[in-house]
Amino acid sequence: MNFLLSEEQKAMQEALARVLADRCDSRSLHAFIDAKGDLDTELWRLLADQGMAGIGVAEAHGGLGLGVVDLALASEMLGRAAAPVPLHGHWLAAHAIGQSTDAAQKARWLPDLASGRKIATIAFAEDGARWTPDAWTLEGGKSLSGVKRFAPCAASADIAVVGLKGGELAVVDLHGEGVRIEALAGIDRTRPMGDLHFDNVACERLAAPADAAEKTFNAGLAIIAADAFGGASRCLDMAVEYAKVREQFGRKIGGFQALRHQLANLANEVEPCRGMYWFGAYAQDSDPAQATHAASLAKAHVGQRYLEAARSALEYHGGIGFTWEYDSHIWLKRAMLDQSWLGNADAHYLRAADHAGW
Amino acid sequence: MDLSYGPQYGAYRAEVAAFLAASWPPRDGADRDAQITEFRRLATERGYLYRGIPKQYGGSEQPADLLRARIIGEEFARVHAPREVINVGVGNLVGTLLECGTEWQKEMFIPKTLSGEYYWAQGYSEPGAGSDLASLRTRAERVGDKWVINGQKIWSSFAYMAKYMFVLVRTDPQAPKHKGISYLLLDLQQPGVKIRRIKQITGQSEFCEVFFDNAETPTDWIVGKPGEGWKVSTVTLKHERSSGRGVDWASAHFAWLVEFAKRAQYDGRPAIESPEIRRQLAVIQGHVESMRYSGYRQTSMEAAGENPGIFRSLMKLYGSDIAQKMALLGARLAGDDLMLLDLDSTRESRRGSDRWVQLFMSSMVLAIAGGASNIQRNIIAERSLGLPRE
Repeated sequence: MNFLLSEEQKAMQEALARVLADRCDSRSLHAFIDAKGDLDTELWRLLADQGMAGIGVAEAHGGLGLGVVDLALASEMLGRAAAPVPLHGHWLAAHAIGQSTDAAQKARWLPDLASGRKIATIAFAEDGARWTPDAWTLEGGKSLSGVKRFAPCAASADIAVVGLKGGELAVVDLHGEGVRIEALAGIDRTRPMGDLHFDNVACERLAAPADAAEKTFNAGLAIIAADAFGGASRCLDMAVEYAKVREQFGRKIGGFQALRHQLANLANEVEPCRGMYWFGAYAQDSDPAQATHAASLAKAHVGQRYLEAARSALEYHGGIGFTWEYDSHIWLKRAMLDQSWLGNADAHYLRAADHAGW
Repeated sequence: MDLSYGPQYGAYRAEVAAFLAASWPPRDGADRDAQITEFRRLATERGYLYRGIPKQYGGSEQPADLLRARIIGEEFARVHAPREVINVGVGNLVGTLLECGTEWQKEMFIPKTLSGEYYWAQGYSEPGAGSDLASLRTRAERVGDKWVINGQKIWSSFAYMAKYMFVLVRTDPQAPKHKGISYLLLDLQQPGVKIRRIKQITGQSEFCEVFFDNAETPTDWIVGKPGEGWKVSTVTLKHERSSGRGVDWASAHFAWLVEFAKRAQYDGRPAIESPEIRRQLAVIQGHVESMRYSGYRQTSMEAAGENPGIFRSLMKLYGSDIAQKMALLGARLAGDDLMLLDLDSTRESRRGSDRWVQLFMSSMVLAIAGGASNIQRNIIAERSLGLPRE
């Protein structure tokens, strides 16, 4: 028994970090944000060539055949870099389709998702923060009519996995008849989102077990918790580095005990989240009895820490942190998305409580 | 990453349970202390206690295995069997001696400390040397074949019932403050030592003041060389328990908190049914589980010779913060009982609320003793985050 990363897992994180450090420097991120970009096709191609689009897809369909832990480890790197890529929704759509018991259905969709030739998204939310499978109301017959909200990178996606009443799932071709995509004025411009309006849209039911939606939803919680840890640890690093160079009263501000203690508290909140998100992801792969509890607790806990850390870290930069040109707000806004997407901390603390055995 | 209890762990759990069924509680009504000592001896022989300590000094010398440690903890707790002796001697001194002690010191002190025969007090803090411990002034001078000690220590837990003390003393007043300190062992039961118990806010008197008036100890009862005491005092044992103790405490108290929430009323119904209380419990559980799995990660990495990063330096502060959160929620659950505390109650006679009112106060010790939280923050800022010194 051990709670360690394998050499392959470390190598994957390092390789991803290298590409992202090169391609998601401050200048590129600001350019993407200011252009209100939906997709950096060159970066997408680069990551897809590394196999990142198909981390969780079975090898038989051209993927790497890895688990939720590996998706989460990659997600940590995306969060750290604030990477403007549609991988979260793409991974989860592939995760859902991968649970199909229909070989032909998997063969139809997964190879293109694994290679990144097609981009997928997921459409779970409905108005009123209805995120969980048991809360979905969209009726699914042969065709769909209605609205699903907050689909990541909807404008560039080719297909969506849509959540239906009763926790069922369906694949929808977003280029098909009757689909209208309404781009949202999202706060986090590194991960644009859209609402999907369906008017008599053809759909293909996923031939998946009854708990498939729940499993994909829980995997999503672990993956977002990982993104939140990556982002929060970046916020901590930025605040610490700034304290080492910024001078006031004739000295580095990192020498003042008030700020040193605030930064120590920040580290104390952020670093323990790593073990939390590791276990949240691990439970999806290897501990089904704890999967729902661990996923919701990780999402609530790490998501909440991220929001607090991003605010505090920005504050410790002073006025410069409040400017558009500086980087702090990029992570603050990712923290705001991570907090709310798939349901906020309040909702997931209560969901965790309901699965805690109390 | 593999936290599964494979088949070998199922067999191990059965083995531990079978041992306990045969050995605890003892059948006859003999002397309780002798029974506990004998039980610990047997449990150590089986590899259940003192797993990180070599056999030659009375440990069971087992490879670090978090799941086995957890199974032992769970099974022992289930039947309320005694675990390792709870004393600074076991917690601090043994690890220090293993690393820095001479062979005769290890042989003389470690086995009887593990068995509970030698009970230790720690002599670090002084009235003028708390957070700034290195400015301590208790002096030891070498006179013939003895160290002669004069001065005063404070906050020494259970010193009134201890046989020995490990103590930091100034042996070289000319040296820079961290360099002039030595780490001595001392028999507390001698005329040169006076001990006074201090009454605490809980009504209990665990802490003591210890006065030295020409107290004596042999010259070779020094751990490390003269002047190395500061360095010697920072050595601790790294094994499965090193990251587990805090989370064991937090888990046990969290389980009690949940039990308390089942009994207590909130908004006219059992508190455990209130969404507000359930959410608050989950918030605390998020911290407890973060501590557990970051601890697993740290222990696994240390066992594999990898560097786990800054988590080790955070554990004390993190645990103290969890204690604070639990105490505050317990205070809400106590309701009007928060205004009541029977100082004469015993552990057995205490009702649910009494225990939490006690915990509300006693948990503050975690944030004060052994390096107060603000000192922890200084250490984290400087050593882990690399911020400039003040």
